[in-house]
Amino acid sequence: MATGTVILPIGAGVPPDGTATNLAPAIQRVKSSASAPAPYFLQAAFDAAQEEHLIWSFRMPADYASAPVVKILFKMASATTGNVIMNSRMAAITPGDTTDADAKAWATVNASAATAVPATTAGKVGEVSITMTNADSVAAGDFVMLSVSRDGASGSDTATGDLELVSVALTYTTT
Amino acid sequence: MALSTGERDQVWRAFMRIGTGEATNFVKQTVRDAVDNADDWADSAAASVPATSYNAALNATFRSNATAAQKSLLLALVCIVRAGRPLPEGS
Repeated sequence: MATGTVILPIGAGVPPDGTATNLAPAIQRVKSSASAPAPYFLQAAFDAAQEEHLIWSFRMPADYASAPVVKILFKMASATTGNVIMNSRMAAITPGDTTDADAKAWATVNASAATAVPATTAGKVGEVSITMTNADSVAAGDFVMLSVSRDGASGSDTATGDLELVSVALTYTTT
Repeated sequence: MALSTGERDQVWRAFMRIGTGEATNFVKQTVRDAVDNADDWADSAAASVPATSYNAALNATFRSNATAAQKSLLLALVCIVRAGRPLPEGS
């Protein structure tokens, strides 16, 4: 029994269509201000006042056993104080079952604790973990959809400005 | 005439979207309160020379932590919406 990881690259995330309650973060290519050749990376900018979502789909690895946790690395566009709340939803379909994937709904949302943003300097990377208590009975080999969002409308999400998501991973206990 | 609550929310969201590039050592509610302060001040300034300066009209947390550029941006956004011009955020 060990810890397995599914890496969920920002560039592989599917943004929703932008309709009501299907809002999407802006995907941005970031160029470091360091001297050339500069590092580049992708980030997803989540609004401070509404909930925007980014969604990944993948096959759950064969060694998945239990305890899925979403690990998020982020930085803030400007905030150096306050808290953020991140949400994650999962939908899992076992091959051969009767579920219509085209009509699949999310399991109940999982919320992070209010997490303080890195202090002093906007741009420092912080981490949020979301324990996926509601994981839609996911099992090894399932087709999985997983969303990450910032609950910007929550009164407990107090940090001003965009949250810039730079890395997402799903960890789990292996068989 | 003072902005409506929806218009003030619009300014608040726009400030948080545009006002990047400088560290903000204050939380969302402080910005929202500062929008109220700025619009109230603009309202008073529209009628007569206000008794307090714009800076003094801002709540203490915003006043002491926001940069001059951030304070200017806030007033500019308030004035844009007071002028009846739309912001991308919508009301």
